[in-house]
Parts: sequence; C-alpha cells; structure tokens
Amino acid sequence: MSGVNEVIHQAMRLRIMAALNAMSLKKAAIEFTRLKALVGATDGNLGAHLETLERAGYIVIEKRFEERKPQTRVRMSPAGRRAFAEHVAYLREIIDSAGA
Amino acid sequence: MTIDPNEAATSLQDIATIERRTHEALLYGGSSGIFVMWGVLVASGYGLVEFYPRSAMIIWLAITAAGCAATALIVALRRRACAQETSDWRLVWALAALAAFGATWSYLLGPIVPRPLMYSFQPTLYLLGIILAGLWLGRFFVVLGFVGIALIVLGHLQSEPWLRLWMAAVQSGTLIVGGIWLGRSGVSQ
Repeated sequence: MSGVNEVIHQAMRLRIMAALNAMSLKKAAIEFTRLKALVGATDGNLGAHLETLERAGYIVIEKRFEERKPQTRVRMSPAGRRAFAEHVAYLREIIDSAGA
Repeated sequence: MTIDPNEAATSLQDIATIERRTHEALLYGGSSGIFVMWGVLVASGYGLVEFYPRSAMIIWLAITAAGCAATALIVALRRRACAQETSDWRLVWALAALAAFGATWSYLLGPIVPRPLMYSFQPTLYLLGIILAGLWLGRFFVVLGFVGIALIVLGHLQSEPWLRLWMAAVQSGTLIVGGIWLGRSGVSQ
C-alpha cells in the first residue's frame, strides 16, 4: 500500500484534482471561474490551493488575454493525473482492507 | 498522516460528486452549440415558410434533416476528440427517432388536424424528449423543456397571424436562449 499524498488529500485540493481529472481531453484546461463554481471555492481559497498544486507539479496554470480580459486556465499535468490515480487507488485500498 | 476507512469513503464520495458535476458541466458546454444551431434552423424554417407556404413540408423536412446531420457531425467531431464519451450517440439516435416519429405523424395528421395545433405538435414532442433526456443528463434540460412547452401552449391564446409569429419566436428563442445559457453555465474543453 502506497502512503497518503498530503498535497492531494486536503478536501479542496482533492475536489480540484477530481474536477480536472474528469475533463475528457488529456490536455483540456478549465477556466478559473468555472473551476471555482464546480468545486465551491472562493477566489482567494482557490488561488492558494492552485498554487500548492502547481508547486507540486500536479497542475499547469496558463494566464492569457481573451478579448482584452485576463483569463486564467488550469489543466492537469501528466504527473498530476498519475498522482491522483494513485491517491484514489490508495483510498480504495483502505476501504477494501477495512472490509476484509 | 493516516486515513481511516470512514474518511476514505467520504473522500471517494466527494470525488464522485465533483466528477458528476464536471461531466454535467461538460455536457452543458458541449450541447450549447447544438441548441443554438437548432434555434437558428427553426427561425429560418418559419421565415422560409412565410415566403413559400406551399413548400412548408419540404422546408421542414429539409430543416430537420439538416439539423440532424449537423448534430451528428458535431457529436462525431466531439467523440473523435474525447474517446471516452460514449453516451452522445444514443442521444443522437433518440433525436432521430423522435424526428422520424414527429415527421410521420405530422404527414398523416396534417390534412385532418387544425393547422394551429400542428405548429405545436413536433416542437412539444422534441421538448418532451429534452425533458426525458434531462432526467439522466441534468436538470437544466428538464427546466428548458417545461418552459418551452408552457410558452407553446400559451401561444394558443393568440390567433393568426400572431400565433405563427409567437411560435417562431418562442420555439427558436427557447433553443437559442437555452443554448446560450448552457454555454455560460457549462464547461468547454
């Protein structure tokens, strides 16, 4: 059994990773405001957690201008996808071993 | 740090909730263009029938065929990009079945049923399909279907020529406004 991933396991970061992982395209990015609505976060809260995930190399944050408005888009990195899959497998192992 | 089974179960439940919400938002974002396109097609259909009333049947058949073909194309392009999406084709087949059912009965009932009722038959049939699809796909589709049907039924308080104008505005407007709302509340990749 691999250990707990403390970066991902925090409740809000787990939601962020779940939302990004659910995007069907591997390189799909989601806009900051849409992600905020999906995970139920505030601007500051989401920004702080995204920074943590970016530092861990799990997500990529892209900033660009669209129609002269700044837009922040977030996508999961391959390392993030792997780490999330491992964390979900770890959570399932805990439940399975408790039931055995 | 250790995680107990209850905490693990809660986390997995949380993940499932967010995944469901994200899939719903992706579906909303992906359907937006399809709804707007159908709205524009319906508006064009009413416009063309106004100028060529004798060709109404051909015009509506062409509009329905063009809409179904364009929807199939959009879904095919999306499926090519997102290999794991599997439910879209069933929706297209359901739409095609509804279109065939509506067209057949419109053809058979057209000469007997009063014309104002025929303005409502196919649109309410499609909106019923949207309501039923919404039971699985997301509550917005249910709301959109009920609003559309209510507005169409309300239209029968009008008489010609306002009835036709009302139907054109309500049917195309519901689809276009609904499509724009879907785009705003959904997620596109």
